[in-house]
Amino acid sequence: MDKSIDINTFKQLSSDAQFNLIVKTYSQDLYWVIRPIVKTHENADDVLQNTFIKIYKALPNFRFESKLFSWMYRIAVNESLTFLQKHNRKYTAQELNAELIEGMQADIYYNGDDIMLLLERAILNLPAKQQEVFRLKYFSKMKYAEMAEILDTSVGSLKASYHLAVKKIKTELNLLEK
Amino acid sequence: MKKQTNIEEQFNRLQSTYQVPENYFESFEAKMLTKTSETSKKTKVFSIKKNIAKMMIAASVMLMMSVGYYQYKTIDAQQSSVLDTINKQEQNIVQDDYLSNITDEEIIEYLADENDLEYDIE
Repeated sequence: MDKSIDINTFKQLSSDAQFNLIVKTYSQDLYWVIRPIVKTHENADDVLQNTFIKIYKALPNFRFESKLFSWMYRIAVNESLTFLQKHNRKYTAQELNAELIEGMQADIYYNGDDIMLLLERAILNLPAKQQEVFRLKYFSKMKYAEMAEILDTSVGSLKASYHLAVKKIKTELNLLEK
Repeated sequence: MKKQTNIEEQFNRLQSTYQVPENYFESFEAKMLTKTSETSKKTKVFSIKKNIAKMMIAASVMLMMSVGYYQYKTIDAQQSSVLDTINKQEQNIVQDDYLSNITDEEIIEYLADENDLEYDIE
């Protein structure tokens, strides 16, 4: 995750050229922000499109007060959560998690075994912040310093969240194995 | 330590279990550009609607201002016509020959009678 656009050059481009550059540079990064939240490829494809449409509409008003990727990251996460809320209004959090796991099992673009499904279930049971750190570490392959910049928090707090998350996952996996 | 490594290995396998169709990102780029040009058209249609709404608001404001101005002018005209009538009546009274024929003594006598005063005209 060390891709970046030179902001000074970027500012001089037209809105359409800016957008094309964003699509070329950040499609994959944003896909890997979205996919672990919505789980299936089909959902991720829908949300990625919605995210880029939002970016396209909002780009003329972007004032570069925050980093470009941080701004897009927040849009992608919000779009993913909105997508889940819209499609699963009637579910409780636990039912939604079960629905997501079922969706993954049915997805032709998922090839995890039983152990990986258990792990996915354990990750879904984590608090939102810990899940976010986990996603950024293992799907976006980010370093703590990059995460801290995007999430506007300290490296120490992220490390603490990660270690708590690992501890909870281990406990949950042990309980499930028993 | 070994257990820690095992779990981290599992974590590292997470992304590889999520697969992406072949050439997905290449085709996504093309799809995205088509989609945004459609959105751009929709945005234009929406902006026309927005302009119509703005024009309607502007027209309503203009209409209200016109009605207000008309009413202001009408009342003003009515008030000035009343004023003109009063002025004319006053002028007529002043210019009337009937008043000019009355002598000062008669006026003083009339006023003294009205006010019940004694008077003495030399």
